[in-house]
Amino acid sequence: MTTRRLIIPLLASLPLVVGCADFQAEFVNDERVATLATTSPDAATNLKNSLDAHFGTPNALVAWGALPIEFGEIGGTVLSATGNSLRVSLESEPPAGLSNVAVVLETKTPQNRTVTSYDATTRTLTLAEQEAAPDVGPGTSLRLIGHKLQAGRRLYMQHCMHCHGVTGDGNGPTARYIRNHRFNPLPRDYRRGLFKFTSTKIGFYASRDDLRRTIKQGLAGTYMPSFLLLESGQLDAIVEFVRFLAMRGEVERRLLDHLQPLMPADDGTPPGDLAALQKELAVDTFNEAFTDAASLVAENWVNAEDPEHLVIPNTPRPPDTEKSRIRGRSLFVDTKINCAKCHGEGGRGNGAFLKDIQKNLETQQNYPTPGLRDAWHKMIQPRNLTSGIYRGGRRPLDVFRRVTAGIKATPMAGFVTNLAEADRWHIVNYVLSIPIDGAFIDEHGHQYHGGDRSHAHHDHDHDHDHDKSTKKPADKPADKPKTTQPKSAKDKK
Amino acid sequence: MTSPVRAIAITALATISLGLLIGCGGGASATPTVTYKAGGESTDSGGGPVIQIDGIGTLSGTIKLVGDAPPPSVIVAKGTAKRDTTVCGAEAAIIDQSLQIGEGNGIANVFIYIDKAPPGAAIPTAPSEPAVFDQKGCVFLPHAMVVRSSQTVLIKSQDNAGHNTHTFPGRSRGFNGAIKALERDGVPIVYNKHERTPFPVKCDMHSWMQAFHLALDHPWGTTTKADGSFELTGLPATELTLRVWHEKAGGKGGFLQRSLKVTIPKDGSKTENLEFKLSDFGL
Repeated sequence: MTTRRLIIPLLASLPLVVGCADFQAEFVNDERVATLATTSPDAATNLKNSLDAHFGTPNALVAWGALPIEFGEIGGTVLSATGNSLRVSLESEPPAGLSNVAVVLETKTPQNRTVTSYDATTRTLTLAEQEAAPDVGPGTSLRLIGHKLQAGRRLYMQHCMHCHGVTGDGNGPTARYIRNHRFNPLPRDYRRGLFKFTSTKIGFYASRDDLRRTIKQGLAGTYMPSFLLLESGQLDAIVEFVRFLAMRGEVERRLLDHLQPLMPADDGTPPGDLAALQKELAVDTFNEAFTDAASLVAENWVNAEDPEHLVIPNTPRPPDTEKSRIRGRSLFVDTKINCAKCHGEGGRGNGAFLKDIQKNLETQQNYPTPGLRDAWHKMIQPRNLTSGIYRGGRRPLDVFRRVTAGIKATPMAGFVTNLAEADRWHIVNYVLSIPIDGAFIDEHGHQYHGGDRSHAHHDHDHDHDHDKSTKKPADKPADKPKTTQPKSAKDKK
Repeated sequence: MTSPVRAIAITALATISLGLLIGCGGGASATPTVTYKAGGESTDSGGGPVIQIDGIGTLSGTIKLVGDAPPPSVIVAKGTAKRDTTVCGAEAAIIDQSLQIGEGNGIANVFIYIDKAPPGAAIPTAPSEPAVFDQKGCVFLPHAMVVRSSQTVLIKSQDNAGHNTHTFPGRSRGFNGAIKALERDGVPIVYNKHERTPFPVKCDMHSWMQAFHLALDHPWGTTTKADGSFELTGLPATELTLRVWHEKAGGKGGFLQRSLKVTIPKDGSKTENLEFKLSDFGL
C-alpha cells in the first residue's frame, strides 16, 4: 500500500517533469544566422538583438507600432493619479484579468509603462513601476496596448505551435512526423510572408480573412485541422499573432539577404574584403536595412487588406450546364492553356510536367529529382481533381480564385492573364464536375460511371498517349451514384 | 465512495491533469508581457546638406573571359522537344544561356549598375514607353534586362504555345501569370520597387526557360551585349560604385565584382575593361 501510494503520485507528476522540463519558448533564428556568425559574430549578434528589440521574445513580446498589426489597443483618459495607481475611464472594457500589457501615457513626451493589473470595479490601473509617472493627472490620454497580441500568443501556443513552431518556422515538435512522407505538405513556415491560398490577386499577400478562413476551416486533405470551435475573438487573436510571426520572420530573412555578402562560401572560406564589408553592411547601413525591411513587409501586409486587391468576379457563375462543363474541359486539356499538363487529362494530378526536372532558383542547380516544388523547395503535387478535395476551399468562388490568381508560392499561375472571366468560370464548372459520377470524362475521353478513380499507379505521360486499349472503366449505371462522393457542384455557392 | 483506491485514483487523476495544465503548452501558462515600441523611427539621411552633382559623363568597356570558352551546351536539340514540339526549339536548338561567350571572348548578359543613386544626382524620369519582354521558340527575349521600377513591362509571346511568366524579385511584388499563345498586346506588369540585385524570371511550363531582370529607381544600369561590351550614358559626374553581377557568379548568381569604383569625368567618358576567369562562374 505504501509503495502504491508513492508510485501513483510519482507517475502522476511525470508529465510535470518529463513532458515539458526542457521546453523553452524562444524564437529560433534562421539557420543562416549561425552561418553568418562563422565570419561575422558581431553582425549575427547585432541582428539577433535588433530582432529582439523590435519583436521581443515569446514571453516578453514587443508591440512595434511600425507594423500593421492589431495588438489590441484601448484608449482612455486618466481621472486621477495616485503613485502608481491610475483611476481611468476606458473606451471599452478590457478583457478580464488584464495584466502585463503596455500603457502609453500621452504626456508631452509619451511615457511607456507596464500595467500589472486592472480593477474593473474601481476602474484602477496599477503600473508595474513603483514611481509615479510624471506629469500624469486628470485628463491625460492613455492607450493600453497588447491584450490581443498576448491572447494570440497564448492561443497560438495551445493550438498552433505544435506544428508551426514557436517561431512560426513550420518546425514545431510534431512537424517531423508530418515530414516523413514526401508529399505531405509541411506545416507552413510563415517567414517568407507567403501563404498559398488567398483571395488576393497575383503577387499580393494573404488577407486577415484568408488566414481566418484557413484556421477556421482547416486545409482539406492536409494535417491542418479546422478550428471552427474557437470563438471569433480567439480566431482574430491567432490571426494577428500569425501575422506578427510572419513579419518577424520576413524581416529576419530580408536582413540576412542584406548581410549575404558577409556569408562564407560553400567551402567555408570567408569573403575576401570582410572587414570593409562588415563596416558597410553590418554597421553603416544596418539600421537603414532594418527600417527598409520592416517597411516593405508592413506595406505588403497592408496591401493585402485593400479590397482593390481582392479577386472578385464581375459576373456570377454561369449555370453549371453540360455545355459549360464541356467548354471548361476543352480549355482544361487545351495544350495552349496547359491545365492538363499538371493536373493530367483525367484530372488525377498526374500531368506530364511532373516528369520535368526543375531548377532551384536560389542555388541555380537542378533539383535532384523530377517534380514540382514550392517556394520552400518542397515537392508538391498538382491537385488530384477527382478527389473532390480542394485545399483552398470548395466553394465555386474559391476555385475561381485559384484559377484566376493561382496558388501563391507554387508554379500554379494565375490565368486571369490568359483566359476571359467566362472561360475561367467554365473551367470552374468543369473542375467541380470531375468528381461527380457520369460527368467525369477520363484521359481517354471515356465518360466515367463510378468505380475506383484513384489509380495510384496510373501515372503515364498523357502528352501524346491516347492508348485506347487501356482498361475501360466499369460500366455502372449513372443513376447509382456512390454515397461517398461530394455533393453536386450545383448546390454550393 | 471513500475506498482508498478510489481516493488514490482521484488524487492521481487530479495531479495528472494539473501536470497537463501547468506543465505543457509550450510555456503557454505564463502570460507574456507586452511592451510597446513606437513606430516611425526615421533613418538618418546621412546628415549634412546634399550637394547637387554637376554634369554627366559616360562609362563604357568590355567584359571578357580569360581562357577558353566552354562549348555551348544544348538543352533541347532542334525539333526534339518533348512537347510543344512544333514551337519549342523548332527553328533552332535551345542553348543553355547561363554563360554566353561571344566574339573575342566577350561575356554577354553581365549586369553593370549603380545600386543606389548617389545623393545629389538628378534622376531622369522613367521612360513612358513600356519595356518588352518576349519569348520565341520557348526562349525568353532578352535573357537579361534592366528596367526602371515603375516602368511597365509588357510580357509578350511569339509562340503558339501556352507559357507562364513567374518572377522572383527581391523587393517588388512578384508575378505568376499564364501567357496566351501568340500574345502580342502584352501582359503589363510593373516592378513597384527598386531592386538591389537582378532576379530570376522563369516559365514553369518549360523548365529550362529562365531570364534575369533588374528594376532600378534610376537609369544607371545595363547589361553587356553579345560581344561583352557595355555603355552607360548620362552618369552623374562623380565617384561611383558599380555592381558587376552575373547569374553564374560563384556558381549561383552573384557579384563578379561588388564594388567597382570609377570616377566619371564631367562631359567626358571613362573606359573600364574587366576580365574574369571560368572559376569566377563556378566552373
